[in-house]
Amino acid sequence: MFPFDSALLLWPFFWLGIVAVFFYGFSLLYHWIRYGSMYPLVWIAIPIYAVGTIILIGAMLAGIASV
Amino acid sequence: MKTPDFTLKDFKPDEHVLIVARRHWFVFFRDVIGILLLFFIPFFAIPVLGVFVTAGTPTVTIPSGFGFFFASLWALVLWQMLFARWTDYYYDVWIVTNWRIIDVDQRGFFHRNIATLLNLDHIEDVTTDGNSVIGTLLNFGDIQVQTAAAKQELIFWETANPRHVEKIIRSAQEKMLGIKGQL
Repeated sequence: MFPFDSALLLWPFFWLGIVAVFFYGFSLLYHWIRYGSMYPLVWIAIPIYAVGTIILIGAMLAGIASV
Repeated sequence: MKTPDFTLKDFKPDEHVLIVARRHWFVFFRDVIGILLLFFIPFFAIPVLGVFVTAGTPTVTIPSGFGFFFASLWALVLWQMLFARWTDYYYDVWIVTNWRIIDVDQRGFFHRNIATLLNLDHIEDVTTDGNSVIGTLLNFGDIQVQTAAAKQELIFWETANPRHVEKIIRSAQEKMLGIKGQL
């Protein structure tokens, strides 16, 4: 379809997503850990959030690899 | 409801937490449903748009990896949104102590407002209102706390188990007024 490697189109979106997740994730984790003593469920939420984020980043990479 | 054992910086020496009230889980569930709907919208909207855009032109083939990539990116964005909503739901609380009612209001990630809304001895009346169908079925509703001052009215929105919270506020107030009466 494209005269060049079409995966090149996806990398800017990937990095945009990574940068957004980094700042967003940092804000969430900072907040959760700072007030964690008052909110015990945070210690369950952190691994769920982290695993979900890693899986979805992996899925994006799998999408690029399959193009 | 379990009594939490934390203290805040400005607690009085004999002050302790009686109950931490937050909105009912259904409030968060509503947000989750909204986010799930948002997740599925592109899967319906993009094919429909595609039909209009490519009408009359040769069929455009998009590599399958593109769809998978953008679906994952979209899911990643919504995953962040889901946890932001959860943080807002879970961190927004009303703390009832044996002295006062404290409102912890989460605004965004870095702005957190902790304010004493009223001391228990200023309360005139406490009423609960759970007159929605879902509220009645799932046992949540608003608690309205009125004070003598005309403007002072505190509302705990869509709180879980409102009658239990009301009972705790009333009994704490009675105890406090009893102690003050003895002085």
